[in-house]
Amino acid sequence: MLAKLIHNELIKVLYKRRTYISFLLITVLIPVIVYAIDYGAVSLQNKIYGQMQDSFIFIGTIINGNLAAYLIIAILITHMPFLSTIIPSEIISGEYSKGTFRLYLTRSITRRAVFFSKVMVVFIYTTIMMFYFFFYSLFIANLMLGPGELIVFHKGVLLLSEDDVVWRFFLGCIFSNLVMLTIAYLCLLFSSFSKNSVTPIISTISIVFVGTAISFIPIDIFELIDPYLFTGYIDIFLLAFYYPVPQEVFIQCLLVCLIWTFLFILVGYLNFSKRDIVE
Amino acid sequence: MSNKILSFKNISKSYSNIIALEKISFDIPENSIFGILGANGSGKSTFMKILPGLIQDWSGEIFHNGKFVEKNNIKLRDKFGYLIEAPTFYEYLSARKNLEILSRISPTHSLDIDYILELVNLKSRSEDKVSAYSYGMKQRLGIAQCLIHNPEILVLDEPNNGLDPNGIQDMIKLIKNLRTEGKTICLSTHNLRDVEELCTHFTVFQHGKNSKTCSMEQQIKNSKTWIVNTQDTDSALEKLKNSDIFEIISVFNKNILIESMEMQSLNVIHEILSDIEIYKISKESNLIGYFDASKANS
Repeated sequence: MLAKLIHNELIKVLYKRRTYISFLLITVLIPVIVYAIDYGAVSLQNKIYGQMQDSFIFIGTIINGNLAAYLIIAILITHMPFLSTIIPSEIISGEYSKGTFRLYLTRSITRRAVFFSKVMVVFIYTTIMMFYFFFYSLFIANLMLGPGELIVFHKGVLLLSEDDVVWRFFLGCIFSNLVMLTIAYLCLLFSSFSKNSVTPIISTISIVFVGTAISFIPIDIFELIDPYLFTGYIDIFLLAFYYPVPQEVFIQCLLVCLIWTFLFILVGYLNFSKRDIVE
Repeated sequence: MSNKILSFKNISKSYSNIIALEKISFDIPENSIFGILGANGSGKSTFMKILPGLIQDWSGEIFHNGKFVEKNNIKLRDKFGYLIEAPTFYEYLSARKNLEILSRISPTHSLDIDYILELVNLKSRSEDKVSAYSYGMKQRLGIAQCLIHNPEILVLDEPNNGLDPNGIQDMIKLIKNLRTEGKTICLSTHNLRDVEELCTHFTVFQHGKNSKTCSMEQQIKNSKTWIVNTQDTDSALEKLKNSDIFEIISVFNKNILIESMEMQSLNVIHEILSDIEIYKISKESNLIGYFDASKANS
């Protein structure tokens, strides 16, 4: 039955226009940014590596597809929480407000199964969106600027060969997806309490904002709690390009995100299963 | 009363300090059209949401064919088709897609979607988005979704609400047809006419309480109200007044609504009006009287 419910949820999501907003944005925005990077390559190179020009001689340009993808993802990843709330914000609250639960929940299906089908669809949507974001960026950037070695800053200058880059993007994508899933499930939790789809988005983004602020403000108490907040890992993608990759941070991120995700899903489920459908 | 397909015993529900339902008890006979009659806010809709599990926190007992129904017995929902309040659908999907979604989570013996759409006269518009449907079409689609898993009992909350006269006639015809197919129908309404035209049995809800179940046949039998349809209303009025047996309640469109002091047979009226051309004499259910009496008792 769960497979049938997931099938239904996918149909509901696929036929909604809002589902495609994030994909449309990514599809349009990334080529524009890559073009802008290409157009301003020299000036960008000067800005990024200006200080190093005294120590290094660059022949040609260090701007290539891999660097462009790296920069695009690093910049846009902080905005992805917003896109990851588009579907979960409405997936439960939308059915409350439109009254479609009066149709759906009167069938011989358990609320648990309905809830978990929605959890699965949020997982599918967020994961596809994040993979699309990462690998579309990489693909378009490489297509327009060509491949090349990636120069990043980590304890100085780190030069990563072409062969050493793709798996790092993949690793970054998996863990960024984990963080976005946690945010999406937070939004799903709010969706189970709300009667409209705006409140869950605002609530989720507010929490992400506060969490991110805690990560950036260098106060002892904040530094103490930051490792336990999922919001502190929004830019974990950058760590995939360190040498060596800090495994302990990735493991910590995995545990923190899983615990928060479990809590969000549990509270959301308990609320959903008890709630009277009177709307 | 024939076999009781559903029985409700002491169903109560309250929201914080508001009592929505207080010890509601009644039985629904098999293959009946059972009306729950009540004013707005009388607790009808709250009651209708209890059976399908939309409202979880309530007390009381429900029996199906004499067997106690557990609160979370979702298997039993296969036997019920629900249309709760205004018809709501995934408006961005077509009628067919909506039914496919519901069919997918219904038991394997679901009816053919084309057959259902034909039954509710929506086949020609089945590929249109529901957002383009009129209220009446949505209401018919609501009935279609009720029927998709071929349930034995239909629970319809205000099925005629918001429909135009043609829509109401279509709905009445449809509900009567469903009864002839062997289904039991439980509907809620605030419209006395709906109950008179459709229902075989009914109960009245007032302020969260209900009257005992009454059959429409019995109600008509017990009624002392008659309606006389005649060309010559003036002469008929005079004769009826002079008879001292009947009290004139109202006169409208060649119709005279009368109430007898005692139980009278049709022959007595015929006798009094023997030399006047009468089109029709019929006994009225006098539901309004029953409704008022229930109001006074609650």
